[in-house]
Amino acid sequence: MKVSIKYENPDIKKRKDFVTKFISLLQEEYPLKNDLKIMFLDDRCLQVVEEVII
Amino acid sequence: MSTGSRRGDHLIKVLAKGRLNRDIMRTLAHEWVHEYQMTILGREHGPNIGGINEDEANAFAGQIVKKFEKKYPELEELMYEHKGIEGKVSLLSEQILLNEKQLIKKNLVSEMKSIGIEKLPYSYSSLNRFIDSKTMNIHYNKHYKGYVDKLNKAIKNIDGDLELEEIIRTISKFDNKVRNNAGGAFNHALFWKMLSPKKQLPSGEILKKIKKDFGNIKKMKDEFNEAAKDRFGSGWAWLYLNKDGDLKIMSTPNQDNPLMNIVKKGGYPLLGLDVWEHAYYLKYQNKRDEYIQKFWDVVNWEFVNDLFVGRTDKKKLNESQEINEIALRRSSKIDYLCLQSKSEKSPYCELKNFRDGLEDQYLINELERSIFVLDQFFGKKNVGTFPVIVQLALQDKSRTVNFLELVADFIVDKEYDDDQVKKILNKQKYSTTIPNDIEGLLAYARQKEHSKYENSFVGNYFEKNPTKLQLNYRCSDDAKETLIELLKKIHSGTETLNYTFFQITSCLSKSFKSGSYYIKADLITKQELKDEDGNTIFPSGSFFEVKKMDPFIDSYLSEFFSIFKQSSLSSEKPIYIKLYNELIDKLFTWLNSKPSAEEYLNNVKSKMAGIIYEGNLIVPIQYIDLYWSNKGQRGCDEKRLSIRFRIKPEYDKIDGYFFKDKNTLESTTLTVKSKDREKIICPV
Repeated sequence: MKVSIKYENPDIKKRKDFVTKFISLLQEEYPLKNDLKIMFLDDRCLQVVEEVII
Repeated sequence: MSTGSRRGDHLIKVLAKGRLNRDIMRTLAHEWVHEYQMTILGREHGPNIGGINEDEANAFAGQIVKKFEKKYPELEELMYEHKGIEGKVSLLSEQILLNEKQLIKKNLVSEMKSIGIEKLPYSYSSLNRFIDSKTMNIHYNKHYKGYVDKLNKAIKNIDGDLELEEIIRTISKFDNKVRNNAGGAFNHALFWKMLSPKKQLPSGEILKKIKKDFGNIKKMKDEFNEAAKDRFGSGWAWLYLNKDGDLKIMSTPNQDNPLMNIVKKGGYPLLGLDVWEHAYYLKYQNKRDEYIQKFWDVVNWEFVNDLFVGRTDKKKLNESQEINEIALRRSSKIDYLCLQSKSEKSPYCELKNFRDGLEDQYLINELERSIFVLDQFFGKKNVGTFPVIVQLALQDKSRTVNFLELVADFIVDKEYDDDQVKKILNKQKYSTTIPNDIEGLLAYARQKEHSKYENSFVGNYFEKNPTKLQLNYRCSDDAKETLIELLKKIHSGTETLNYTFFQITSCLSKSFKSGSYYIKADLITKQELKDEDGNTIFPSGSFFEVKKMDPFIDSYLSEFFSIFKQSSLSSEKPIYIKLYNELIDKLFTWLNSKPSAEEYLNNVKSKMAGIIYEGNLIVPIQYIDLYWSNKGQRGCDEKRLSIRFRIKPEYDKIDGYFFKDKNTLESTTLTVKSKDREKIICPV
């Protein structure tokens, strides 16, 4: 499965490695089958910068 | 959306601005678990506050964050990364919001958790031909409401939402206070609905089923009446649907019922009669018979039929729905672990298949309970010690349930908190490695639980009397070799297997005739044990073997020549096991052909009064068969020469006794399936 991450918030965008590690642990503990999109929002509107990890 | 949301098209949104990374990750984990619940477990959307999905997502998100911190201690600083004044304000307001949420949830949960009062569907006087209005009034307002009140008080401090039926189904997890009051609340809530002011006759599906399973209505009533009459002291008589889909009758003591997982051969109750004196004494005094007869005038057969149809429809759910339904129940950890393990070949899925093949509901419940305990204990589910324990338990499927049950009992037993083995297992909780001698550690844990059970009988009636059976296989002065030395000689060609076999069997023949070492027992009675009528059942000086296991599990009484039990010989095992198995098979065949070996078994039996199984159940020796076997502890790869015991093939029903320390023996009858009366031996 593939996880697509959209970073709107600049602070968390600086911590991509950290986020990737956390998502790997999630996938290890609660493995999903479908592709998943995650958005880290700044406020509650949507502007998109896309990164993709497996 | 508050701080996170999840959409059906696999999109998770997490608010990141001004929050600690730790909180962002917790929100992400929470929504991820929801995605898992919906797409992997196939669950439906539940309420946003409260409910199993939310509770689980909160709990698992917290666990994941902790695991992450444990796995990456170097990232701790990043978890609490400072986000300036905006972050602090946000953190503070979030905390306030969280406190508010928790308060709302607490109130909601306590409201949801409270078990309600079932409204009486008729007036107190409308069942006059069966019971007077004064009894009805006291029974409903004092006794029944009392059970509900006491139950709500007893579960006030237990975490999670609790439903009455779920409490009943998993009653072994609760103390006696909950057991009595939950039973009282559940039984009476059903009982009120099972009665009707209008006289009814059985009809519909239930009528067909009664005729099919009992022959006719009268036979069912007779059996039910007997159960109600024979219930000693307070309790209930039941017509219920067992796991095989058959209607059965039973009576239960106190406020127990067939749905409770501690009740053997239970099932789903369809009709119950309260035979506590509070239910009838004002009108009938000591004439319980008359009360039972009149009961049939007020049975609400329409309701009984609805219950029956409801249960059988549920059974018709297709398999996948059923799996999901089971996985949804918090008590069914086995399905959950199998789903999580990602592989059909995982030990958990093998355990699930094993469980699905079990017929005895009591064994299924015991298995679920044991796995529930182990799952709570071990933080690592798919690697490390937990799956290895399951794997080892599955090696001998005749003992799987017992194996897991004893290990689980050892783990929850606070008495062993300072025990070295418990400490080692504690260290394994979050470890991916497995202790070297895991088999030895688990054998030790099981032995501890066995001994504890045995010791629990020592007191006014029993004292310890540990004796072993011995077979002498070295008769002459020059025969000093141990069995492993003999095997080594045969292996090197300095001795033949046939000559060794001849030497051993000559000596065994003499040993059988010597008349010594005939007693095999764990306990001896200090004074006689009597039944309810004062008859002496077991005189003083009776010998008993104790086994903390179900009476339907075949087990061994004594093992001989078990040289590979010694860890010092484990390195020799691969070299000599083939030869060893060959010798054991020859001895096994020889023993089964010798009348003196049969006589030896009879002598051993004649000295035993019975076997005490799990739950203080005594089975008298006349129902037990002893036999020679070549079965090893884990199947047939490593054989063992042993004397095993089982219920005699000719008895499908046995009369046993429950031992109650300060009282008398309570008679009980057990039904034994033919497969539980088969000998267990390995092919030669």
